[in-house]
Amino acid sequence: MSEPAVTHTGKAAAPGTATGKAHVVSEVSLGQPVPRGAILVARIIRPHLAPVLARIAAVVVEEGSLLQHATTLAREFGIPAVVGLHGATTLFREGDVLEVNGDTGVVSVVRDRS
Amino acid sequence: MKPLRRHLIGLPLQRSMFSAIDRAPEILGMRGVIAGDRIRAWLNEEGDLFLDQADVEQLTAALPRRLTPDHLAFMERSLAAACGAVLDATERCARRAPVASDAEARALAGELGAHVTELIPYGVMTKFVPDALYRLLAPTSSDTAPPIPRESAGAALTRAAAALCAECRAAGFTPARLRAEWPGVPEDVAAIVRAFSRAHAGFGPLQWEAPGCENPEYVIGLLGASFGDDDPAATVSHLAAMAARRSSDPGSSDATRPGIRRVLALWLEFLERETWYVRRAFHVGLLPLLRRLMPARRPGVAWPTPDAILFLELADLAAASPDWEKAAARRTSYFAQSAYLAEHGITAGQLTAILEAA
Repeated sequence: MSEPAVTHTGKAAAPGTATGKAHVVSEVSLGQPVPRGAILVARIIRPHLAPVLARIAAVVVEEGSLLQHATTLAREFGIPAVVGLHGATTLFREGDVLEVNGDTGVVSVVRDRS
Repeated sequence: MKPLRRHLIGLPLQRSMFSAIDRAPEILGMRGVIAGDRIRAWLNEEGDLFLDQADVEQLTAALPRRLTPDHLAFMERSLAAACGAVLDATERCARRAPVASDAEARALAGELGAHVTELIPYGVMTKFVPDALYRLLAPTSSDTAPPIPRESAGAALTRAAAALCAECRAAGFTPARLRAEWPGVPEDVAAIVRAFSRAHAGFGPLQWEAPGCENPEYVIGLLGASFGDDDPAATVSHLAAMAARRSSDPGSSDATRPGIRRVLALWLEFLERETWYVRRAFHVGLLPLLRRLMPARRPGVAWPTPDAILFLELADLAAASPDWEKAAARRTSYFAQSAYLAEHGITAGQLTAILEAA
């Protein structure tokens, strides 16, 4: 029997669902390619990081406002987004497999990295 | 009260331009909602941003009752004017810096700083005004997509970065090779990277001194993180396909609230540019003036340091003889904020490097 997924709920910001490995970033972690198909987990996404969204499957951010950079950019890039998920950068670890539902705001840890 | 954001602004000169962030009620044209017409919003000495949520809730609750067509027009005019004033002043400073006298340089710096100070409260208001306007729209519209009528600043930057990446690759330089060999790359390749940096100055973190697109090495890092060894043309195609699928004006059939939708669209455009306005004002407009106004160094004397001018406050810039002792104390406090410096990737020599970069 498989373990039940751990779920966390934020605000649904851009529609769609995606599953991938968490890539938890800070503002200063540029330089290495963001893994293609990753779920980008950040405190906030600012417009200067927009090019990074070309490689990812979904975005999860801590910033609480529904209308913010992550919402706008995710809709433009056509990827799901969940915003306002407090503590996301500490709740999720690099490599955790996450399922992001941008219609409901639910983010599930499908399989823990460990 | 807990800070809304820890370690937001560390540099004293930038922090001094947050002095009007309590003026949201007046700027929104909503006098009489909050006692004294000031919300409780401030930056403390550590650069933490405080914003009283009770005040925000009062303003947000009052907003629907105030939204007459005249009021919406006022909001639209005032936001556009504040953005335009910063842009104009930035360009004026950049134009005049090479020829300005010290007195003119001080006056121009003060003028630009004043316009930035007027704009920053709008940035604080993006934390709640767009959401409040959107909530007014959502129940009356069948389409819940936020009204983003044009390509966002981030998407435009992505297209430009993809074009730069393609150009460098055509010259034999992948992002990884650029990173490994910079600045020892052929002059034509260096020139296109530097041209990108100049054109996109202002894209970067809110913290002026944190690395951003004004720095070619930062741009190369961004190319590496965004495209790796992939063909950037795929990104451009994807964005174009998404833009074609997106309605250019999802709310055009909503005749009941066109004013709100228009103002919301303006706020959303501002939201994507708010940091760019403030950062560009510094890197394009203010820095050339500060370089002119830097105190002369004296051999064998440690102070003022090359970066000392960044530890003045806006009001100090107007003075022919600023209080350098206060600046020295602020500098000591700044470099003691190790969490702030680490969080924003600010290294020991970065401030001097910013001032000395041509």
